[in-house]
Amino acid sequence: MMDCNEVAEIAPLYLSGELDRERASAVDAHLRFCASCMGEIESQARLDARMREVIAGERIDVAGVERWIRARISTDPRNKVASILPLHSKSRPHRKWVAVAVGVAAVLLLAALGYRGLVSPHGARVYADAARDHQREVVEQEPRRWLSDRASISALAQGQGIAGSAPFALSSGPYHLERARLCFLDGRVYLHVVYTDGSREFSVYFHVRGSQPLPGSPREIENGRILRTSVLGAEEVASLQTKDLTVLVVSDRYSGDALQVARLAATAL
Amino acid sequence: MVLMGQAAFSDQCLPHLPELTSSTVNQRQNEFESVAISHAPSLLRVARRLAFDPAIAEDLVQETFLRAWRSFDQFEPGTNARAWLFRILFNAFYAQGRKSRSAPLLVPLQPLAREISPRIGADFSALDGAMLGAALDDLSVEHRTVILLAVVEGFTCRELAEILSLPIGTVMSRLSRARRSLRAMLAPQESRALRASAK
Repeated sequence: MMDCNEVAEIAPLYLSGELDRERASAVDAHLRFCASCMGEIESQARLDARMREVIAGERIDVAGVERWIRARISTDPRNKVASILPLHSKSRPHRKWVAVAVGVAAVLLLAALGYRGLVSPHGARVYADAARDHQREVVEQEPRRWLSDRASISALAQGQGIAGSAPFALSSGPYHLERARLCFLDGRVYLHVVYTDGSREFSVYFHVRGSQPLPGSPREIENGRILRTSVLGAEEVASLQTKDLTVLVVSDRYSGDALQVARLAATAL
Repeated sequence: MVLMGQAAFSDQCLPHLPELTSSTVNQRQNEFESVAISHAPSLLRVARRLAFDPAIAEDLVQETFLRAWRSFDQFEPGTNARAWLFRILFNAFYAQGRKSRSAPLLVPLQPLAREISPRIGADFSALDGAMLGAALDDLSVEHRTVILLAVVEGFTCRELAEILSLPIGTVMSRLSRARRSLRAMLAPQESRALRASAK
């Protein structure tokens, strides 16, 4: 069993969602009986969220910087050299160094695969996949077969071990369920449901909860559930776990919908 | 000279070279736009909190983008562009610091143990943005750096280690100390703010 000093030492990794399953569970077990450490972690998570909200919310005008850099790179004298080289290529390295590099890369790849297998089989990549899927399927509206009637969506959910009513639990108040389909995120099948508030669309991905904690920094706690957020390009992903489900919400990063819907999910699911 | 080298490499390419060249540059610029320039707000936000002077912060971000553009051929598509850009930003920031001072910045060693004990359970909701911003600015540059990257920008400890070229253990202890300092600074302010609002 971990003691308070050990928990304090690895708290940064716990708060950033980087701990492997075993150590995260050990921290969770300690927090369940240690009110002092629980208070510290919760208080820190709240301060982090408040700090992020305030500092990341400051208005930053980058128009001048962007103008400068666009003008500068289009007239950069080095373009003349760079432009005759193929994209993403450098001068040709010596064959011996290529062999060494290939060897090192193979070792690193094996180490990374082993590490992923042991530590984070379903880690932060799921957020990147969700953001990409939302961008492709919802923002760019690639033609896909979607289901839109209640009975078919319920059956689709049940086929994935998810309660048939779960997607409809979020279809209340300002939000309306539009359509659903299955998709792959990080090699696993998720139920992708698209909701709208009449002007914007956002995605919610459902999956039966595994034993592994979600990656990412805790943003806030709602109804006893930790809400996490990550910004990936133009999208924001909010995530949470209920007793039975892992839920990811993806929206435009500036709309704030992801966190709002995650709060609703934390109470409705 | 460049054209001569290209001609020696393949005469057949010569008639198409100008068109190929400009389209390749355009392609690089478009790719750079989508990969890098979208991160300008994050970079400028952090640069302002590092340098305090808006003009210096803008210079730092411009320098970052120029360095990124010049090494864009080495950037691996699909890898973490934000972390790559922040690494360049911090290299530029440290290089600027080396030019302007000879002595290295030292982080005061604070104990990790619980000697400073901010109030447990504090929720910091009574604090306004000015109080939080001022407390952040009062931290040492090393502590401010890890708070900005981990808390505000959401980088993981492993990404911080890569961006700042530090061992992960150093990142974790620095982040713990920075958070503790911040809470120690803010807890009394929150108590005062709560007392004032209760009156």
